[in-house]
Amino acid sequence: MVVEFESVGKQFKKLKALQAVSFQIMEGEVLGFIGPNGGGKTTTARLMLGFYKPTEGIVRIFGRNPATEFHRIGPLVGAMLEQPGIHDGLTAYEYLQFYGGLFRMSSADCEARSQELLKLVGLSDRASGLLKAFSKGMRQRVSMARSLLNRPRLMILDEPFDALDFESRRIILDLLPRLSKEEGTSVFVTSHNLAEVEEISNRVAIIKQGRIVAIDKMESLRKQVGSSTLLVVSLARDYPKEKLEQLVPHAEYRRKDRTLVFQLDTVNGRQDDLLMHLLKSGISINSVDRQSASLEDVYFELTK
Amino acid sequence: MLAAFRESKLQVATSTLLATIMQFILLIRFMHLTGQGLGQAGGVTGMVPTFALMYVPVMFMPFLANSLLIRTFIQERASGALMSILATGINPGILWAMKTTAIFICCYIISLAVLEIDVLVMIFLFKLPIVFSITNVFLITVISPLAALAIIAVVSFLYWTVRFGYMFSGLFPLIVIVVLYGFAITQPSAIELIRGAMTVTLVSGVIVFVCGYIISKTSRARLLGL
Repeated sequence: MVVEFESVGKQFKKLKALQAVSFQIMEGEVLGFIGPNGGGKTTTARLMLGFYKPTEGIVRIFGRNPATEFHRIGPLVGAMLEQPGIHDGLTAYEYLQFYGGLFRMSSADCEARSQELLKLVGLSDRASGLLKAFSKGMRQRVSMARSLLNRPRLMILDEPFDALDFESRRIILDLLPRLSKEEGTSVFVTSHNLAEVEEISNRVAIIKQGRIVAIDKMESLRKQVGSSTLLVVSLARDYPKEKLEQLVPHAEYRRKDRTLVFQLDTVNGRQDDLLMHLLKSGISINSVDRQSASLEDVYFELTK
Repeated sequence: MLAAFRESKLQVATSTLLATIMQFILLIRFMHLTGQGLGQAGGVTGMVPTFALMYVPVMFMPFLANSLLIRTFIQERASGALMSILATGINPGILWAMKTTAIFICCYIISLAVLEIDVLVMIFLFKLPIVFSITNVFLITVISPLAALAIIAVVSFLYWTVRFGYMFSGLFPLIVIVVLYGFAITQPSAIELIRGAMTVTLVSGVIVFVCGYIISKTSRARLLGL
């Protein structure tokens, strides 16, 4: 077991940031941690890094207490925090060399590893460029390279996809599952970006108001909300929400897409009757489709 | 430090110029203080002007260090760079010591350049005799910078441990300048110089050690302002 949270609570003056949070991360596992702003994602990451001590419960990283023994844990961990933590006045190469020194890597190893990582994140042609001139996406890539420098056994990534361009996002999305499978690196990743988390995670934890609402593999989470398959009815135009709620109380109306979403098991073979009911009530329908419940669907269902 | 110099060349240059002007004004004052008076020889150091040079590093270096600290520490904290560094598991006390030493070395190198300017101005502009002996050089280049190191360590310590410490830590170099401004120079004897040198060395070492120790025991959340 790489990470263990056992009934962890964290109180800040009047705010209870975490309450009875329990989970584990095994070797080579990617755990996605999703939740709304202020849900407790960053607090959890900081507890893992030993920046905070838990008010209740126990946190263990590689069997050690990160709050008191992080000097032993740090060399095994790669962290990519909410801010890239970039020194604007350094070049990408110098930045990695600086961290190589902090990890007490030999010059030769640090140089080889820096070149390798800059190539991996697609920045080898910008190695001599000042970080000041890098875009947000490029800074995140440098930050990713830095977090991999010491060949970590655990990666803690807090909002790594935030404000990234497509190319940068794809690089990270391709890299993380490969790391966990090929090198046995465990990954803890927090994000608002549900699609990306769904793509890379072995398991997903949903946190809301400091409590874990659900934690399981994607397929099991879909079953938890009733059905892994949805019936999606696309409407021809916008309708008042109250009217739709009255007509089909068990459906979810997504105004942005102008769709009515049903759990397939609630429809229960009465799909044709349902559609006739809508049409007779004056609702114009564009199309009807079946989809697998996405992480977003699961998230909204479990956190409402 | 490399990053700080690249990003804030103008600030470093301005701070260096201001510190040079300030310590030069004080140097002129020292040279007019009674004790031995201008141009009179005496004591281990030779002459008052030479002796006055000893105060240059202790006035100049903390002032410049404070300017560099403002830039590096606040920026690193705000950008998350400090958090990323502490996430490597490095002991905060060691990190503090490394950064403070880097700032000290940069300020020391610049102060040596400023000292050269002072000597040239005193010799050619004010026609003052400057006597270089092993003792003078040792005082000016070793003991005085060690005293400056103690002040830099305290200023740096305040930045790291006290919330909004940067708002008043800049007072320390100014206090040094004000105190020295009111300080009447008398030429010390050899014994007094040796005692003074040993005291400065010991006190500086203790201050640096104590500051580093306290920081190593301070929670990282506090150092980061979380």
